[in-house]
Amino acid sequence: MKKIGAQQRPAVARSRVGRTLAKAGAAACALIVAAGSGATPATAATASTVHLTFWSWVPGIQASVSMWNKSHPNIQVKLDEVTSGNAGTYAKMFSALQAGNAPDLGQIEYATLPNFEHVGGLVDISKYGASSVKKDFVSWTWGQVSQGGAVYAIPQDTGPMGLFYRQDLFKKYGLAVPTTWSQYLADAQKLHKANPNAYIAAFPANDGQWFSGLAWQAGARWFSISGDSWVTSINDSASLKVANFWQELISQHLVKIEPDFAPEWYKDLSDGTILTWPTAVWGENTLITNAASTKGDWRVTPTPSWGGAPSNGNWGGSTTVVFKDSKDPQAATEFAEWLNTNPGSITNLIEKGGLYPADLAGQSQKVLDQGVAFYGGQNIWAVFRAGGKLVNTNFQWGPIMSTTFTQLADGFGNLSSGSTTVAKVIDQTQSETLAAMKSQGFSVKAG
Amino acid sequence: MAVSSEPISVSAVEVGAATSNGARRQRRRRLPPHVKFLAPFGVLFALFFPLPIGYAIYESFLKVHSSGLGLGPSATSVVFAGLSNYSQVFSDSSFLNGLGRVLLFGVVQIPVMLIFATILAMLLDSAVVRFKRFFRLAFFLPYGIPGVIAAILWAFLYLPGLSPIISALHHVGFGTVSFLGTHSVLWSIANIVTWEWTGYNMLIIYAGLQAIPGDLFEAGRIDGASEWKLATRIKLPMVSGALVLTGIFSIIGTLQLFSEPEVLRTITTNVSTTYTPNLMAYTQAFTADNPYYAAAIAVVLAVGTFILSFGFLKIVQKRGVRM
Repeated sequence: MKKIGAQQRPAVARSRVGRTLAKAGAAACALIVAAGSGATPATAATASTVHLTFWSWVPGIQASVSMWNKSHPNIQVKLDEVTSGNAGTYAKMFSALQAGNAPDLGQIEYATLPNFEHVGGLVDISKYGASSVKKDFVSWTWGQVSQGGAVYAIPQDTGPMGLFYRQDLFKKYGLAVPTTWSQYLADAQKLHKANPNAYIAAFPANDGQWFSGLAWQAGARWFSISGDSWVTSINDSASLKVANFWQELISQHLVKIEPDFAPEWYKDLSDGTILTWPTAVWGENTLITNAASTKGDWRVTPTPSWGGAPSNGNWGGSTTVVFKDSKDPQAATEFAEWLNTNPGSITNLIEKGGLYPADLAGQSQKVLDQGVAFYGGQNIWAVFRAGGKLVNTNFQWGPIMSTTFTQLADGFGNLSSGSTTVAKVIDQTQSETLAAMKSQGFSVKAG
Repeated sequence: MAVSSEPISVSAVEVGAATSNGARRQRRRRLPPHVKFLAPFGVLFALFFPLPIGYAIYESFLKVHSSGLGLGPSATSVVFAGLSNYSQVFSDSSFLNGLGRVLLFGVVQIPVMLIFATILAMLLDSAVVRFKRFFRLAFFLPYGIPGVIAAILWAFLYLPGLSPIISALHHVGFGTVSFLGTHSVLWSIANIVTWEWTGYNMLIIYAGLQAIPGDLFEAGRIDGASEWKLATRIKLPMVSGALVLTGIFSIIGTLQLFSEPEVLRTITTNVSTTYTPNLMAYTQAFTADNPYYAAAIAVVLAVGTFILSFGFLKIVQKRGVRM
């Protein structure tokens, strides 16, 4: 008798626990439903008003959004300020897309666009008239936001490259401002002879994007599409030319291998350990903020050429996209176009966001056509405006760029120990990217 | 009708039970109350342990499959991958290198830290030390600093050009010491971890020492044992349980090494995104957008930690250590 009782008790207990769990589950579901409905009344309040959400990390972009909300009472945009893409927002966007609750609009960099196209997260906004603004933008940007006839984003800003250099130290060491990369190498050697503790530049071994900008300038074409197949050619001849050039500088100890955007690198930029920085237009602000003591010492010159027709590379820049979960892609497209072409909005993005617009009219705005005190009053914008027009329009990004950049950076990490060369890393990244794409089922071949 | 007068919340089952079968109702009423008390725990436990773990295991059997260019909604799908993520983990040289690295780290760092912690605990426990409360707190203090903050603090002490340590060593004639070199960076991380955790482990061992009955020492002294003998023959064996515990915590912590290398990654190129298995899982999940492979790495790591921890426990238990 007692034994039966003992056997029964756990059974009852178990069923009761099960029911309690189910109840708790139901309560949790009710909460979620309640929370969900809490977010919607805004739409229900005025039936004709469209409400859109927008994720962006550009500082001061709220002012542009407020301008839009004032002039467009029927389409109200709510901005969610998020951390920059690679600092976690892309991961959040991917998760939201998977869960089916992504915002209407988002900020995405050019190199990451194919990643999002790949997961089917973006709306082809050519259906909503986006093609009509094509003529407003720097030509290469349109090549990167569109695939064939489809348009997946509106360009926002760009990062045409140039060479920042220490005018005072160039004078001190008697160096000529380089117009070609071979002059750059000669300067580096001369400098090293004069002062073994000074370097012509840092080789940012943590930064695959920096290298991609320079390869882009040399005419590299890392990815292209042929029929229904990707062609991956990260180790094409132009990329290897750039790789061998920097390897030469590394081998002769003419550059300092260190991570960029790190404390030691900022120190080196400030105290004259490194004399130049080949980078994008937004680098002007990096120097002003992190090498403040060098005010008046830096100047900008066009990216040195490889000989032949002048060309340039681009590093960075982002776009505004419409995510697949948007309930009103038409309204979202209108906002994306307005945000990136309206003169008032662009002035705000330049002044508060520090962006260099992709919009051609925006590039000629007065704030982008005057001397900058930090650069000794040089009109550095003129250099970048001219440089932006030379950016190679054929360059394309692949569908798994985050993986490719990680592979590049991890490979470059071994440069300082001398166990590899830049060219070897490029070759290795090519084969690793190919293998990763194949294993994910992409149709891909080496170019 | 009795039923209609009942509050709506009473379920039909209960009403039925009340009217038709008094005995059954009584048995329900006598339900053990501990079930009710356990329910909140049960729900939260399920939500935060078995459910996420189960989900991670489930995800580790999936992968993204693309076709053609893989662009657009129809070109990509999530498919069942079988064990392919796992076979990829075991053939991935970056994973194996990372694993080898943390094992080497553990073999060196754990004994150093535990020996250090034991010595500090014994010093605090000995009769000769003054300002015990102060030292106990001072040794424990690094544990109170969040790991990421500790790593950032140390990062600045490792940076050439900014570090007072490096410039001091330079002045005494050591040349330029590199704390962030290809090989030295692992031991710089070990130093941070040791600094953070020695005090914590010391406190556990110290608590074990405090629990030893005083008559044992008395008996030892009567038998003519020196303080050294007392320490090695009585104290050390008596805190072996605490040492095993701290050892297991340290093994788990080592295999999960993450925040220190992640912080140092921003100042040196010698820490790759696959430096430790946990860092690799993080990169796969949040940079490469491949949560499925990340899940497989995490599961392998968890199983590995389990095996190592229990293996260690089995070995020391065989040698007669009781927890």
